[in-house]
Amino acid sequence: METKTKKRVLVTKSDQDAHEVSVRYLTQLLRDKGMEVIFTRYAIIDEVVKTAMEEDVDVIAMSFYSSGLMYDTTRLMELLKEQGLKDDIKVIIGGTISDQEKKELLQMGVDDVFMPGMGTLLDVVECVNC
Amino acid sequence: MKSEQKSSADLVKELLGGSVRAAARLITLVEQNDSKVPEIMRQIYPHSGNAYVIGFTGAPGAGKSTLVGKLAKLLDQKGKKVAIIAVDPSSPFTGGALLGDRIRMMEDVGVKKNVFIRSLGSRGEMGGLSEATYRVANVLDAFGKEYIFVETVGTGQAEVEVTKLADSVVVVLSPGMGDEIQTLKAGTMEIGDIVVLNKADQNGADAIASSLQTALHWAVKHDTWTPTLVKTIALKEEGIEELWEKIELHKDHLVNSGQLRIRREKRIRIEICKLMKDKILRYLNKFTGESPVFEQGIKEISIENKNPCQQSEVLLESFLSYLKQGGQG
Repeated sequence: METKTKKRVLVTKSDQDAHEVSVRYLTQLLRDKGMEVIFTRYAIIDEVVKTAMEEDVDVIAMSFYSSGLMYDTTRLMELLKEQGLKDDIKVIIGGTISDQEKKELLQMGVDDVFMPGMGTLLDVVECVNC
Repeated sequence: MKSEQKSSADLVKELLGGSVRAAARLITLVEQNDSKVPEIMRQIYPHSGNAYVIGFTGAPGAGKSTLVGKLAKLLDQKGKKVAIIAVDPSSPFTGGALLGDRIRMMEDVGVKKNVFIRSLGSRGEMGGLSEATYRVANVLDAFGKEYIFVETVGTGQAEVEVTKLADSVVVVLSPGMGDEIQTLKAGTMEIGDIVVLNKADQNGADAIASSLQTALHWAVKHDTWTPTLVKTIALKEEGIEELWEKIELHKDHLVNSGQLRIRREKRIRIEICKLMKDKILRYLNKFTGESPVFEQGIKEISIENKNPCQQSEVLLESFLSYLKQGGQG
């Protein structure tokens, strides 16, 4: 039988970061939009690239409510380029992020950044879905 | 070049060369039932048939994913190449899914190069697997994986699809899921070549283990293999070695008794029937959608009050001749 193309999304965060309510909520919203969502917690960022590659995801959505934002994201973007995945996978980052950090993230090729007070999770869903 | 645009021949060539990216893309294509699927299967089939497929099934929360992760870690340490296909339910309302098996395996095999994990949504199939699971296993087989673990959706009492795909079936249970009467029920309880009682350190584990032993002892044997019970505590990595020994024993039994070939023939039969049904259904949908003969037949029922039963026989005849003409006219 014909099956429609489904959007696949990796929602992930560091296992050192206990703040999980928002990503769990996001996960459910994406699921309710008909997407297939893989949810993981990573110990090291390299796991994210392996997961994204094996699961053949369209989007990586990462959440940061504690440290590691710049280090992890820099490494993630390097690895994605190294593996030739950068053009195939959209990367979006959300969490407690400053204006300066946002600028740097966009410069290193992150597709979108969501900061506190920017709107609702529905905007994130929209961004993932487009 | 974006890998989306690569031809299936290129992807298969890269798959055979060991590219994880190509394997993942091909899995997506066969999962979507892309029009390239027959071509892909034709190219990879000669390279498959070497992997041993082990199915894991059981209730949600019994510990299947954790167990599979630990077992994959063990095999990786032994230098084996393992792939895991983990199926989780798709929403019957939105089609969406939360694929949450992988999270249980991250600690054990999150960065292990030789362990390939792929999560699948069940996409409307009942029975614990998705329709494409068989083909996904074929891709991973051609990719050179020696062992393929297939973890079903958390099942209830009656999902037995995994027996159609796996060489060995492991049923995973945990204490606290009912009394000894549950161990006597038909369905899932009948299909385990190996039955695992996980969380064996929990209250009531010994009682349920002994009634399971009895039930397995009473079970009607379909061949000379007697299903065995293994107690594990997956989180503490206890009983994993023993489970692996039992799986190997079962594998040896299947090979030596000739049952492996019989099981695989059964699997091929099912897959072939499914492919044929799919194709016939596709033609039938085309026929009912576009054929003037079919429209005329409907009108004859509604206007001339013809009998639908008789009319369906007549229309079936026209459909068969439509088929013979290759779906034309």
